[in-house]
Amino acid sequence: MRVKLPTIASTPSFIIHRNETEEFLRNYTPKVIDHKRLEALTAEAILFNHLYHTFEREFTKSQDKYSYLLSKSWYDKWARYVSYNEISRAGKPNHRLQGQIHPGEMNEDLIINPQNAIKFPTEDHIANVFIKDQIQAQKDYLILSEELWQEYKRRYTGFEIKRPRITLSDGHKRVEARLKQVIYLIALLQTY
Amino acid sequence: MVFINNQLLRNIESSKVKRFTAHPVQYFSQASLKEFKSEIINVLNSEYAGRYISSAYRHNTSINPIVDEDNLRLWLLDPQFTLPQTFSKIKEHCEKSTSFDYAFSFRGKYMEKKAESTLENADIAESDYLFIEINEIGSEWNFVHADIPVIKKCEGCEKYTLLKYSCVCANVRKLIVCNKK
Repeated sequence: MRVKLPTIASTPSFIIHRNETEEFLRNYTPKVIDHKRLEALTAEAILFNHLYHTFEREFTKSQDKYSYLLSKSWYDKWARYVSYNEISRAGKPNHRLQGQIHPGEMNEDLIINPQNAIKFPTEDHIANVFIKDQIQAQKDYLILSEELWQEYKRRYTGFEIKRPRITLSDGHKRVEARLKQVIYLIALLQTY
Repeated sequence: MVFINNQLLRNIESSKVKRFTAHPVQYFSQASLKEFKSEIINVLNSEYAGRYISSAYRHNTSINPIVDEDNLRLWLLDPQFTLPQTFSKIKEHCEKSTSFDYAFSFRGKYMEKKAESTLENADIAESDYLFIEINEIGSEWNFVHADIPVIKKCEGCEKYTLLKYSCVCANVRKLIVCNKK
């Protein structure tokens, strides 16, 4: 008898998938992964599928003041690691991919550390995290709710990129991924 | 961000310092200039202040003063002037000054006239330079500007009046005057 997995909505429309899987499979001999570990990864994929859909549905209604950025490149590696796309679409993981290659540190490819930049003294001040110029939503990063980010953070290590949400005059919301670069500051200090 | 103290101005005058060091900073576009200023004050009063300013204002020393909103001003350099040009101009002013109480016109905009304006609406481009002027309470400010008129004795006509301009004559050492002529 076939057991039905919980109902899973299709992959969120704002996530762009690249079909890297076929090439990967041709060149890779899978490791043997513990069965319990695979079950945990499947459960992870199901949970995130639910969270992504909740986030997409509630983004415009949400009163959250902040969102989080996640590297699209990291997301793709993670999706392969947990077999997210297969579970989202067909309800079944691809065991040749699942659990094979850990996605590594989150957001490493988005962060920069400009020389001499001003650091605000508050611990974890969000304006202390600089991201690369000319990166684009969907192509280079995804926007996450706090709930999604916290779930990733519980499981993986990496850099947190927290950004304010802005409500526009027409009621739409946008996330200020790239903060206002308040250029360069020069101070004159007159002391005696 | 380049921080200059009086000693540094003296060092500029004596050519020991040859250029400004700039520090990039980022902040929320919807924050007001007032909020931004407040955050800069937090930086300057923090244990990290030494990265940006001289020891005279460093955090947590009983003899050093605290930077507050009354002794800090924000200025935006007119984009037609480059940083090296501005450095040269300041050096020239310092050299002409008859004392170490340096005072000269700022070639740009006083940002706090509209302190409630957001950074997004403050008309600041990414290639612009924002100056932070810090002044010890009770002493003179270095920058003079029409938006912050100062009443004191004009070094040109010797009358007590509103002083707005730097002297345009390159041959005298009198720097701040009441009239462009």
